Amino acid sequence: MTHTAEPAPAQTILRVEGVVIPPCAEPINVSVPSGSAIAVVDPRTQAGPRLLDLIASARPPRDGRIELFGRDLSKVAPAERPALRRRLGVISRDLALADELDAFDNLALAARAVGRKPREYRKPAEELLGWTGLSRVADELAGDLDEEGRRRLALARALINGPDILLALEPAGSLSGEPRTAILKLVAELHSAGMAVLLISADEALARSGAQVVRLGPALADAAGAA
Amino acid sequence: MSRRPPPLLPSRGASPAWLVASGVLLGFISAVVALGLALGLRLAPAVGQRLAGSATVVVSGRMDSGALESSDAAAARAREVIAGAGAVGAVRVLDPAPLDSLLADILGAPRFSGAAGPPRLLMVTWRPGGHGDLRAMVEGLRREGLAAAADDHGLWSGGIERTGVIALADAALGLFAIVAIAAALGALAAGRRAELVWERLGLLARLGGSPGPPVAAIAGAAGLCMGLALAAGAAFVVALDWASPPNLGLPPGFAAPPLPALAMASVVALAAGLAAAGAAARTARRGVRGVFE
Repeated sequence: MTHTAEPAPAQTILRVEGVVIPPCAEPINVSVPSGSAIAVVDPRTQAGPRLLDLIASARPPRDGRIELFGRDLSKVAPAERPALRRRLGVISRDLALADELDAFDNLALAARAVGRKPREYRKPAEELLGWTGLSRVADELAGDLDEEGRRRLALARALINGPDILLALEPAGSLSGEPRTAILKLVAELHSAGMAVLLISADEALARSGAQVVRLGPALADAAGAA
Repeated sequence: MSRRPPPLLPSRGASPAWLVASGVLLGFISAVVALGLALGLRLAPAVGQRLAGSATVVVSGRMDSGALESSDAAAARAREVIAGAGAVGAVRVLDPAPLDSLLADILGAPRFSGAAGPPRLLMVTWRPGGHGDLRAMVEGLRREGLAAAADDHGLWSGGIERTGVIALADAALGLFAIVAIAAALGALAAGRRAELVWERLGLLARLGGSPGPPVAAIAGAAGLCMGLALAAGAAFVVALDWASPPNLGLPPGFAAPPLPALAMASVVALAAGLAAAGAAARTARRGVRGVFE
């Protein structure tokens, strides 16, 4: 069994209750209050990526219950799901960047996908590129960026449409050392600025990142609730 | 920073340079072959008419009852007899010099240095639409005491006609092969393009949280474009078929065999292309929705 259920504040962005994702037999319970940062550490079961997909798709789970922005997903009509999804900023495992577009256009494409006009997204995109340290490579193709640059770009793109929560699977990927620290520092800045963050990673080091930690897997049940 | 919004569909890297270059080269070759084919089809009736509409008469001088008639004199007399025959449009004695030279080279000059001289050739041209009785003409010449023989060119014209049919059929087959290769390259490019479009649609759906009407419309438009491209290709083949020999008024022997089959194939391709486009659009919509549902 696993979970870290901190005292839920009045406004809970995301609540996962009793969701079972094979091969993890134990139900997953996660609560992400507004402005909090939760790290789901999943070193063994590989249920973490599936959990992210489930939340990002805004679909109800087979077992258990997911509440997103106060709405039980089992009671949300399919036609209403897109509106919920657009309130999520997602960094997936494959990053899903458009390699043939430059860094700026990757942000612009994400903005256009939700119907925003250039005048609406130009300034935020420039600010996000600046914040992530990509201003100098704004005109470079995403496919030409190094791993750190791509991670930074994925983070900027997840934020371009002003989400209420950042869902990130392995936000630092295979980076190590300073680049890894820099990426996690950006995520920490987001949290400090008041954004809710849900990190999913196989990396135990996240337990030392300052985020509240949820561990998946029966072998680690004893560590549940560690913060 | 001033820049244009990025295209929703991928515009770069859709067609590799070698694919474009191959398409241009094949297009050029097919144009040249098509031009040659069209030219051949235009010239074929004229050549056929010239061969079938004429005959050659050979006349030799002779010693008859102690009187010698030279070949030149015999040819002149034969010309008058032939000119009076029915269905003859024109008759002329061919320049003897080339024939004399040729026969001298082959058989030796002394053999033709007799009093009568070597035989003379007359070119007989039939009236348009008419064809005289060559055998009757020769018999008439013999009745006039002329030693004559005639050839209706059937031996050569048959071979030339057969060669022409084979050449036209080969050209048509070659053109078909080129068009088929070009179509295959086009399909390859379209496939690559479709793959990129498919990836982008999936990405847009993920970024936008929904396939949404705009993305579904793009999927439909992509399917429509694919259908239109197929239809255009099929229309080209139909046009090629329309230009087939029977439509140009050529004799059936000149008909290029593959073209009627191409007509059927083009109609089937057109129908299949449109059906595939519709199916592609529907599948695209479903697939893009499937990213989330």
